[in-house]
Amino acid sequence: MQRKEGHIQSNGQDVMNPNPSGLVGVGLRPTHYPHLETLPDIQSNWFEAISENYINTEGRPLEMLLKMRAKYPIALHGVSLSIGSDSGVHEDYLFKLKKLIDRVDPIIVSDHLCWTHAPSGNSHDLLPLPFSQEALQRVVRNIDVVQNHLDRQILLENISYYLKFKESEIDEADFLVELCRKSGCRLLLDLNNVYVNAVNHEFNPVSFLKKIPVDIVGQMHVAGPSQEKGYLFDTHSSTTRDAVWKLLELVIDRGVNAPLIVEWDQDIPDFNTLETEVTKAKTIISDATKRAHAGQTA
Amino acid sequence: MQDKRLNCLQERFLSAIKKESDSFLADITPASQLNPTECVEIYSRGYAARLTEALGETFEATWWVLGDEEFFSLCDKYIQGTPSFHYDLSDYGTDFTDFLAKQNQSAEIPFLVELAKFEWLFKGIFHKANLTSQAGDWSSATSLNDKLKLTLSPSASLLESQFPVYTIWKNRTESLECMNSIDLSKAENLLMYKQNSQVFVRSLERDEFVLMAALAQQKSLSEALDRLLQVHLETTPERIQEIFSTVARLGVFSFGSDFS
Repeated sequence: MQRKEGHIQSNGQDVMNPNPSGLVGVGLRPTHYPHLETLPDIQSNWFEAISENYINTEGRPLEMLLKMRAKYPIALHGVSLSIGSDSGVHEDYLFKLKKLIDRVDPIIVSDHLCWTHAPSGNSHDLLPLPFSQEALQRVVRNIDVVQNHLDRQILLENISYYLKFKESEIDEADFLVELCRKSGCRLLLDLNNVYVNAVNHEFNPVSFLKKIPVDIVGQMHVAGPSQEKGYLFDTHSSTTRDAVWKLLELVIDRGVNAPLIVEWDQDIPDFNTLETEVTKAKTIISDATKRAHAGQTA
Repeated sequence: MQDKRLNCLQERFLSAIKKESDSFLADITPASQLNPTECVEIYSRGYAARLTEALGETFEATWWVLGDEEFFSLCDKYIQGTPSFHYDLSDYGTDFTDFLAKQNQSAEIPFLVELAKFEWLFKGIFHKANLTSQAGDWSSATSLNDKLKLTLSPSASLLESQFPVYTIWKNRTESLECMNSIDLSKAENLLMYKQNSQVFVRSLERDEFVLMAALAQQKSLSEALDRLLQVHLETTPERIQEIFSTVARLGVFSFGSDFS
């Protein structure tokens, strides 16, 4: 079932298709609330909030989110939707997410292409799916339930994974494309996850990204992983690697035109360090856009 | 017939994460530098770490009293026997106090279980909405109808403890040596409630607690007063009036079921 495309903000701006240098922001984290409450002059011009931090609680966190929402565009990014669960999506979660969406009026609602729960328990982790026809059909059915309940399009993020399934029969990039086409959802393209997977599973990230059509990308993430013994771990605990900035250049050069978030979830630094990453992202996007314009006029 | 391979695969993956079975290892191809066991171990470590962190956040003072080694050892044991079902991690640990009651540590530290109960209640109130001020004329309502029943707000909770759990909890960021200065024989009757986005804990006098506990159990005003007078024969009308003034001022009870 095709859903309405994008979401138009009250000021008329279509934030699903903004100027590429328009929306570059960071994840909204409680540790930065005191700084943000002083209403500093900042580079970040939008924020992404973790839905679960606000779904089951009242009080200061939600007050802060609503205060930020009054000033900036906000995306609600979840970790517990479990869109890949064969047992389906929890109704209670959907109900509460809808209530939060109604209060916050986010410009984007997203989660991950993964599963977190099965009938025997909840892993509280973003677990990978096999890239199989069965999984594809299941996820499309679940997305339909979610988009109908929320009455809006959702975005799903490609995740990092540390194992692959023998029963996978579809290439990951093809799986993502087919999923978006069949369900009407869009892709939250996490460039760090592409990079981490490419290193861990030895594939070419550029070839991967070239298979992703520009029009399905509704948002992007960059972040920094940590090096563990024998693998890269998607910890969001360091600055974005140069290789990931290169991937950002590549997708902008290809014409991707979507809001970007710099994620940082462990060993969270002061806000100014995040702002340095935001400035860097803005410069890359701006330079790539200038190159594209120069190419068009040459 | 519906294809159930995905369902089985997900159950096997979860079993492997919880270290219940390793049949899942045959289903996977590992990341290039790892073997299948090492790959699953990444997820197993994450699972244990997340649940331990959730317990640590809720039971911060219990952790402080037990120390790292004992607390983490108890968490491991609890996590092995208690899968998480709710998507909200802060909901994990519903029966952690019951689990603690069966452990040797609760015999060695008599107040441990009640301290954990306090922390679980505190966590619950922390996530509730602020108390809403209750409209209505308390003095006329309570004097005109002694059959009236009151409802305790979901943003409030009462706890009767044989030990000074709130006093212990308040010291949780200090050195453990401060426990030596706490009189552990002192019981506490506590009221917790959320107001202005903060959780307030009020130590109640015994007679205040008896009356509020009876009201919270949906006893009528006259039944609650009877209960108070059974426990405190000497209670004067002035004292009763004083307690009701306190109840009215705190705003934690409503007439009927106004709290929703």
